[in-house]
Amino acid sequence: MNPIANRALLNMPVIKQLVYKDWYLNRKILAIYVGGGILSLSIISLGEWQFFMGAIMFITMLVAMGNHQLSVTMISERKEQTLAFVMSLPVSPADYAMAKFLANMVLFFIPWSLLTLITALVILFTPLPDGLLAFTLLICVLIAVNHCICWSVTMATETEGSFLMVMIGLNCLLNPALYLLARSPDIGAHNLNPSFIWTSTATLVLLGEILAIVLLLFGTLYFRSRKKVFY
Amino acid sequence: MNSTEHSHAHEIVRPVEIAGPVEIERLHYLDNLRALAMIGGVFFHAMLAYSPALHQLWLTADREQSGVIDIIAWFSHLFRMPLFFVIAGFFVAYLVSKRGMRGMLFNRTKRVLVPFIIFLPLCLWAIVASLMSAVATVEHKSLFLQMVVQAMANPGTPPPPFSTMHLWFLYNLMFFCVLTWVFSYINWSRLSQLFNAIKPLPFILMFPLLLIPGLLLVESPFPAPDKLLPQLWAFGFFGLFFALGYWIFRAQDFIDKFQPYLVILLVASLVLYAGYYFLLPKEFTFPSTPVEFPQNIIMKLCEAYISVWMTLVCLVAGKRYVNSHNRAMRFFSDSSYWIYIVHLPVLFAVQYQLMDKDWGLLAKYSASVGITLLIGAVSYLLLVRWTPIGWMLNGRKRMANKKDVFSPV
Repeated sequence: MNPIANRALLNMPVIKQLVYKDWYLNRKILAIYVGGGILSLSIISLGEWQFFMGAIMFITMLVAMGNHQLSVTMISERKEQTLAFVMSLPVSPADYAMAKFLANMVLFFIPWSLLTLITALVILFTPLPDGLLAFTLLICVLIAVNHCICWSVTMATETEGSFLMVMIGLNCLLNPALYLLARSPDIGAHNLNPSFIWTSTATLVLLGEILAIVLLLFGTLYFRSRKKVFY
Repeated sequence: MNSTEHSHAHEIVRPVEIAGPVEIERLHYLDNLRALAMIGGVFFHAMLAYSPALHQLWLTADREQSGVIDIIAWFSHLFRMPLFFVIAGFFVAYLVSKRGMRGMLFNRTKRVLVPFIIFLPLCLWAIVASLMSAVATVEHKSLFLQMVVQAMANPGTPPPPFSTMHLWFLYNLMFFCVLTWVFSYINWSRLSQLFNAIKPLPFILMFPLLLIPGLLLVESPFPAPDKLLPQLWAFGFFGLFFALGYWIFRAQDFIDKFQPYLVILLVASLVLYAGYYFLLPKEFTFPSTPVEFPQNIIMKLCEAYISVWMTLVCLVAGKRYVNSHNRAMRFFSDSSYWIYIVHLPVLFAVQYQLMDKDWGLLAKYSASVGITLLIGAVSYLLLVRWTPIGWMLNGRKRMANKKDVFSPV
């Protein structure tokens, strides 16, 4: 057992280094998906079918970026036995959990925020109907929820099998979610409206998504931090 | 503009290995060419008011028109911005080599993205304000102004699509900088070797062909990629010029290889342009009339070859003739970024006033350019040069630098 497991304060300098390590290991992946995101946005403007192709490609980039980095920062770390090295550092399981939380969330939410912002601006300032904005924002937040579910499961189990099963399951469920939101009379029905319409149903869905993110992240962080051992 | 951090010519340097310690060669011509490309934008946009081809589509289209304007304007249009992006790519490579990728991205955010975010809404506001004034006061309205009047009379008319206007180059440049980081993880050594070893003639003949796919996605002459959505064709056209500039920084004496071809390239470009201008529609419409396949591909080939050849001509001629540094050039180069940013609202405001005047074309053109440049230069001196705006655009000037400004190198 790590002798500093019961330490009250977090070891922030080492946490910083661990976050930086994950950033460093993910820089190429991030570059690929940011490049793919820019390419998908540039395809959207080419025409009608290209719009759908670009939009699907854009969603794929967001989902794949999140899943790929989880695979690299957590699953590969376990498989390549990097954890043994981490255990030799003056860090507690709580420090480790915090480092993984910060690294994965920053790695995901910075590009996610940028791409979501660009998408919103594109809808508002191009001939695309502004009514699409509510639907798009809810989908973008849903993708973030899915990422948080994947992160929570991976943090809890640290097995490749469970990570893959959850990832596949969530990706399969994304299409029904798109369908349900698109068919909802309070959300999808306004998609072709020239002006932006935000309904109480949209607020409810958004609050539900945000609540899910908060519960998943802090619940996982809390339970993971209480562990006395790394494995 | 992209290179403003290094718009100070004395800072633009290139390491040259000369049997021992690394010597620093000053590349004033790139700084001066960059400024010329920027100020050339003022002349170009001023010309569009007197262009018969753009008569239906330009806000300040005047009663005075001349075909000569079209000939000059569309020729410069083919290589002014390509040249600019070559220089932008060069400076980005310089920044990467000096400060690393992170430093380059940070620097470009400060010098390109922040000015874009600040000045785009201000320019949009200024243009709309002068437009509203022109709608109420100008008697001899252009066709476009008349359309605006009609649209204002019908409240149901959809608003025009959002445009990044003349600041599109900043927006696109930021994408190119991000893509520089993205592509930095690819191993380019083979391509770099090929690029370094390529002879001038194959380059002159082959490189323009790479631009054709991008150009085929848009009409002729290629428009400004001023939409909020990144334009794929702009990546395939301006992006390749940017990449060329990036590689030129790493290739030793690339520009010198083209010295013997200066006159040939210039003459060939002019000959090609004669054919291109002949094929170009004499009046542009929106949406543009589709051009038949053989004619379309011929026009694209002309555009690609002229843009590359004339960019090379400018680089070679620039190195030969404007590779100097003095007080006037320094001021010209320092102020060009600011002048370019503010020029369009000022130019439009001036040209609206000239639309009702019974002056000749040359007088109107000279007045619009002269007043715009004067306002740009004076406002630079009074409001920008030694203020936080100037620090944002060109970097903070140290007192030591101030001395440099006034002493010829």
